[in-house]
Amino acid sequence: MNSRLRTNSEKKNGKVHRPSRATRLFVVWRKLRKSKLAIAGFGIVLFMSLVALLSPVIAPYSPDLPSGSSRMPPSMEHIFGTDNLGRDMLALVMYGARISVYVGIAAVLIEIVIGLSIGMIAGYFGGIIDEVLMRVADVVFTLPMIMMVLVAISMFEVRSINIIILVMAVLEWPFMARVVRSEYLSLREATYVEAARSMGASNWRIIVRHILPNILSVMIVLATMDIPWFITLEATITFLGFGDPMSSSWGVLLERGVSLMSTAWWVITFPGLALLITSLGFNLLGDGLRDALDVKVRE
Amino acid sequence: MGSTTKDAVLKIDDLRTYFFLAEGVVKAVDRVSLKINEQEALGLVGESGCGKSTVAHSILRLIREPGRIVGGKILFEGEDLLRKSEAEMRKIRGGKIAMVFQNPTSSLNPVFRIGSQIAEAIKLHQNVQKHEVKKKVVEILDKVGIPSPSERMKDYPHEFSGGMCQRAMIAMSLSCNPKLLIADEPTTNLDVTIQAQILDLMRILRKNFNASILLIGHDFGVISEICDRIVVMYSGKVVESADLGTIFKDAKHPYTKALLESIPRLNIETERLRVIPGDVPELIKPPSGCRFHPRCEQAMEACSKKEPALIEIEQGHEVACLLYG
Repeated sequence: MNSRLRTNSEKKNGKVHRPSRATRLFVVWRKLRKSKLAIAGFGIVLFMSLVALLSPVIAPYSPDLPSGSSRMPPSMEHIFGTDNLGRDMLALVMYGARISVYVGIAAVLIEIVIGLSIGMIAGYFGGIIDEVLMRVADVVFTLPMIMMVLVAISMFEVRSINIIILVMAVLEWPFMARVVRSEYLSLREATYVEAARSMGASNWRIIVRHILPNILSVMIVLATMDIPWFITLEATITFLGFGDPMSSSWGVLLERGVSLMSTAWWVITFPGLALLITSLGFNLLGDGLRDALDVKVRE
Repeated sequence: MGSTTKDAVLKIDDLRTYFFLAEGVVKAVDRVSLKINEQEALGLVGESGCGKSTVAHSILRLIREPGRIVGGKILFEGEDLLRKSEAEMRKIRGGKIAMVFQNPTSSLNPVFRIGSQIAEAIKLHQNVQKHEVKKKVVEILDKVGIPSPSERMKDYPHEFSGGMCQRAMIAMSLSCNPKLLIADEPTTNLDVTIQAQILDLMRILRKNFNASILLIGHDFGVISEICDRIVVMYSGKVVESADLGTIFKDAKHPYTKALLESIPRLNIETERLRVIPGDVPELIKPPSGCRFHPRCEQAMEACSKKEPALIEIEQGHEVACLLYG
């Protein structure tokens, strides 16, 4: 019965000629490689992540103890110079990467958990649920960041980097929720969603199993672009003096450098450059990923 | 046809599905009754917007806001589907009643392999071991005529042609041996040769799977390929129902006649195909009396005043027209 239904070309050689089956990840990588900027971004992100990860091993000196005299300009022993306490700036920037990258990733993860769940519920169910959740999002969106950091610090009575991460994520999720909501709003009308429902899938199954994988690429791009945003935001908060002085992120180094700006330019310059380059790297990678993950953009 | 001796798998009674819009109430399905007997293929025919798809969606209770099923009964295997809980309905959807849609390429989720989508349908409704599932997927893909199924099941939907996608959809809908298969214009978006293949396939599968079929379409040519009986809908109402032969030889309702005359025939020479004048009425304010009367050539005085009831004029042949009432 089947032979009658097959097309001629398929019948002729029995075995169908097929192109090699590249995995999705590999296809994405191949597309990403086409763009020089994206590769540069990928390189920077990879480099900074390695530095953050390996800083205890590769840092030339301890970041806590003086390794030279105060305010030494860049030299062969201290490539980035030393700060006013004689600590090696290169070691400080390396250890700072650890904290700043941690801040970026942790904040984005929390933001995704909140923004994704609220966005998908609002977008999929719509109606009054959508209305309520989005108004909550609007309100959260208006809360001023610095003030909320101060409130949180006085509430918990401790200055911890984790509190800053939490406050940032809790204030920034409406942005992600809106994007996720609009994706769900359009995808819930897709025929394959209706088909899934007609096969007996429940609402939750459709939300998580059928629609979520379809917006994965959007989420990856958003997350990649949000990491530098959070790193910079934390640096700003810390720079203004509301940060956690115990965990020396790039923001803390910048803050310390301000008073030394006229006598030792290197103390503020190198952490600032690290921040700038990392932000640039994540943004370039995010841009490249947006094109590479889009199935409609052909290789 | 002897269909009256068999039991009805599905019996729709006085179904009303309305859409509540800001501009008013759209009675998309207005007191529709029909039944599908065991192993029968019923064709539901009508112009776009006549409510035929809404009937299909109502059966599976897939109507979404602002639409609502307002009244009536949908008896499936003797039980009223409108009284079932949502959880019970989920067991029926895909398990006992399956549906095939109009756009095969967009009915499959683009990010999953064909095989895993069919596997999910199987796992949702049957208690099958993991390694058994894969065997079943290959088996069913082979049955619907997908070449080298164990290879092709690893493809993504965009690697399939439209016809192949529709085969995969049919495979998915048949994977749990449903009692009733609803096909909502399954061949509309396919080109003619593929259309013929899909119809071939459905005819063969109908014999092998012992399922009843509700085939929805606007094309008498497609419907007549498979169906034993035909129900014609116009503007949310059933206007005529009879078995296939009767419809083609002895259609009574002016609308059915007009529809039949608008099909191109190779054996009859005509200058031009007939066109039904006017437009499908807006369902928000349907014409008074018989809804077809503004377009009907045989309209009388009474047609704009009295609404014709569906009357059985001979065994198994029902018409809703004042000419016969």
